[in-house]
Amino acid sequence: MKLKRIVAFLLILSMCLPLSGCKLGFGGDKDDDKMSITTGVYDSKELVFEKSPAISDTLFLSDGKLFFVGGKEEAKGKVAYMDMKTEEIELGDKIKGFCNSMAVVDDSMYVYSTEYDAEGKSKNYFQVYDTDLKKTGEFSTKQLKKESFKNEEIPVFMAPTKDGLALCSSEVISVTDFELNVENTLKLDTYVDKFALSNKNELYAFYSENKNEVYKSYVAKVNLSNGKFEDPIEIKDMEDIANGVDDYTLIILKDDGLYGLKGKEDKKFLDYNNSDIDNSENSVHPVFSDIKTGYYPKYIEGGVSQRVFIKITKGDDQANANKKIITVGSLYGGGSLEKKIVEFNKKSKKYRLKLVTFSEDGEDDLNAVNTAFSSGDIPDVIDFSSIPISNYASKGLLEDMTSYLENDSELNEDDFLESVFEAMKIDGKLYTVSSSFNLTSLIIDGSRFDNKDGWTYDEFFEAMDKVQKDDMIYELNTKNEIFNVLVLKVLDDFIDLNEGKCSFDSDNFKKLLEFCNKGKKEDPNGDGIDEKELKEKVKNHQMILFDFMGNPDGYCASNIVLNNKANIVGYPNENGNKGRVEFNISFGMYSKSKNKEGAWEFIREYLTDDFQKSSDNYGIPTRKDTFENYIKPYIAKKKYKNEADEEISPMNYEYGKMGFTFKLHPLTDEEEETYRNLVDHVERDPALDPKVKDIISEEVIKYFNGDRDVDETCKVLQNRINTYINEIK
Amino acid sequence: MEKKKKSNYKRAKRRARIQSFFFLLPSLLGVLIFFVIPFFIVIYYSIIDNPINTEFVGFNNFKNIFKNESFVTASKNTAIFSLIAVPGSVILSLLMAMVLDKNIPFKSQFRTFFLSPLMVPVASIVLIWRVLFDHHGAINDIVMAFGGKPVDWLQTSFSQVVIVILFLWKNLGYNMILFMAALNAIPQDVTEVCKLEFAGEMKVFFKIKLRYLSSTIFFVSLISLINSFKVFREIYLLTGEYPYSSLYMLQHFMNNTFASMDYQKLSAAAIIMAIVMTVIIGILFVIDNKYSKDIEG
Repeated sequence: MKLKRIVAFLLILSMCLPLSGCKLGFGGDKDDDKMSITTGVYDSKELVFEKSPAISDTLFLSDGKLFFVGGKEEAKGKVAYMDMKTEEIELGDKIKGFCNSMAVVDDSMYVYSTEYDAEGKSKNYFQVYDTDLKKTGEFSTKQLKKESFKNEEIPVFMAPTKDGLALCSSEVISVTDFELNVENTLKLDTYVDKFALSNKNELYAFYSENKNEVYKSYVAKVNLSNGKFEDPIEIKDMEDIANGVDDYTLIILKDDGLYGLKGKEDKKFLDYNNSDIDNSENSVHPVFSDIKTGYYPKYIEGGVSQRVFIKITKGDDQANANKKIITVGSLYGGGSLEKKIVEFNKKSKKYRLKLVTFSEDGEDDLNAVNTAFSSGDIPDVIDFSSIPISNYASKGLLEDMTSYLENDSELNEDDFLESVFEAMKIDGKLYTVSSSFNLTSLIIDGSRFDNKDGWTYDEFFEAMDKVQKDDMIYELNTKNEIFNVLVLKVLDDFIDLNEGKCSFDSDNFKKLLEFCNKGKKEDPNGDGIDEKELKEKVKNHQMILFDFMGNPDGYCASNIVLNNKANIVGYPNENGNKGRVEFNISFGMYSKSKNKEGAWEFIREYLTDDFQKSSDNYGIPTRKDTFENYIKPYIAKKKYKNEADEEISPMNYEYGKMGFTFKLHPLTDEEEETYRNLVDHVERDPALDPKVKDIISEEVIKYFNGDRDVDETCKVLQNRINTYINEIK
Repeated sequence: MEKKKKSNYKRAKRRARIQSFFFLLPSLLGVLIFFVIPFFIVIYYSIIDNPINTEFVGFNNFKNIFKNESFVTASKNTAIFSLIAVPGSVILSLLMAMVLDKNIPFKSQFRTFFLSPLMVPVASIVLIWRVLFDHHGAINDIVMAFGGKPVDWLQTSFSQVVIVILFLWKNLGYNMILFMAALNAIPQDVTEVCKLEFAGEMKVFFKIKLRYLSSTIFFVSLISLINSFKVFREIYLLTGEYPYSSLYMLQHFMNNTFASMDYQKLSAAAIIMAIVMTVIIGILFVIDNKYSKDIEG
């Protein structure tokens, strides 16, 4: 009896648990959103040297000085050092060419460099300097090439030895004396990825081995008498190694931070996220003077080889305690997002962003996104750059950010290109905001077709009735490609998810398919595009549709090719919009986020002029002011200086299109007006579920292969997509 | 003394109960976690608007699902398919079993032949059916040889016929074996008495054999009903997530609503389906009870 009671109790309990909607992940949010103590925190600081904007990526630490090659330009650099105590630099004599590797041993600085002549031929040099940075000698590389390195292989690493140097390449080590006379050439057992010096100045190698199709990475000490690897240690997820310091034999570089190797174990001592260090471009290759202080050179935007020193020092592990955590969800992260997160974390005193990637192996996996959302694990900010928004907008997932924009002290709806801003909205609501977009449209030859101000379906079909047998409909003149460039862009004219209707059996759609069917069949063994034929067709006005990819220089090129008769006519539609936009970087906010203010603080960063004009923002910017800066190089008729004080010449470079080669020119007033008009009349690309596009492509191929006629194809399409629409109603 | 005996007895009983509880616990936990709790989770999802908002909406999801055209189509298709395929499977397999029960030549070879589709993996079945019924498949070649036009078998109203054939081909063998075993279990003396009384074959079959076969018929019907839902696997591999409407089954609806996070629709549909299945199985139990009562005693 008692047993029955216990069993009954357990059953009732199990019934109550889900019905209470308790927070076992059924749509609830997590309560603890504040950071506790973190580990591996290092502070970072930029050291900018005006007299040395160019810094080599090879550094060498010796005797309280950090040696490098620097100066105004890397190609004409000078040997230099930074005094670790004063953090001031000294520049010395010039080196020839680019520095490949260097070592400081026995009060001499050895630099191995390569110089390229005007024809691209290379010449290598071994130059020696004293520690006052004066050149003391130069050695020939002939003996090294002859005896040790074949095919002019450049030594990737120089290690000091007791009696000279060890010049290390991936397969060979050349042991020399201080005059670079080869004493021994050691052939290595396996290909080495990288070398480094241990905390005791011993040479270590990082290499990988493939065992049963599983790659394993190892570090091992290199015996300089026989080239053998001693006591290899397997290290998981190792990406690179750096010189050891203090108690750590070596420093191991991994994706998430720096690890110190002690004995056979590696232990993390620097965490990139917690330290707000941007390693999205794998830029952190540090040299440590002691475990609390390190330096590495980092590329900065601007000219070629512009680098700064980043000094990293051990920080306070409690520094970020009590900051509110805001999660940013992305399908697979990516360099520019991680960089932005680091920047935001550095300057925000209240919030700390944490990146959550849905897909572990970097593959498109919308199932992973759905699983995360339905488990209740929804991030505060969602990166919609690679996630189709159509699936989620209607489910109440996203916050309408219109009011956030209205209440923002610096941003305003009027800051953005009007038509583009309207295209960001779905059902009148601002579920996502975007910093850039791609613009597509269709161009036709104005000498054959009068249509200029867009066309309705009837006008399109009327014009296409004039297409002759010898005409080429599109550059990639196959049925599938014509379908992709034309029909896929206008699908939302045939499917209305709000009304729950579709019209794939309409006359317009049938006629579109019949038009696409005029193209050639796919030929898998074909030779591709015949440029001569293409050129002839264009010259003779026998090319019908031109794909316009949205950049002003692309438009200018089309206009030159068509003798100033390129009409941007757009896709057929009933509302006069000629262009279609596909947004690149887009962010949305979770409607039930507990940190909406913080989420907006991050999201709005992408709407500022500073971000939109940076190189991380790919595509056409959505802001009006940034757009003007974007278009200026294409329309400027005279030289001018940009914001970075660089002189910009009018557009005058060579361009190739459809077999023609020509020089571009700044857009004429008419061209500029046409382009601006296009940007002012855009619609969003059909934001349809990929499944719908798959169904359409599947059925249409059968029609193009001749397995079915157009009526049957449209009937089946209507039937299948109707099922889809009814399902989601 | 008596009292001591009684208390010892009670203590031993309690100990036994506690021990048995701990032995039961792993299975109990497994049933709770993998059956009972998920069952109630489904009920929970069926009474909220969506897994993100989680707002209580009562029976609205059930009302909406009956208005959903896709659900109605799927239900209709599933019902039609089951109404054709299940009785067809039972009757045909019974007929085959009765034929093979006689002493015919190559009896065991025929048996192996009919059983072999069971051993074929699903992917191979799909491949075979595609080769047969594709636009350029073998069946269309035959049709064209006779002067006809090729038919897109899986995208017309013929598609259900194709799937019924697939279902029957796959499942007849197993059902046939069950019937053969049941036929062998019919007492010989009863049939001999019928022969002595000059009863005809049909009378013997309907009055005697059918009664003895009633439990097997019930079991085969149940298995066939369950298998008729599993045919989604083959249809999905042949035609994808959104097939032609005549092939769109309940499981397509459920599979797709799961993929698009419409858990409320999925849960409501699952509950309705469970209720319908319970009713059908209940009816089968009643019929079986009525006809096999006198046989089982």
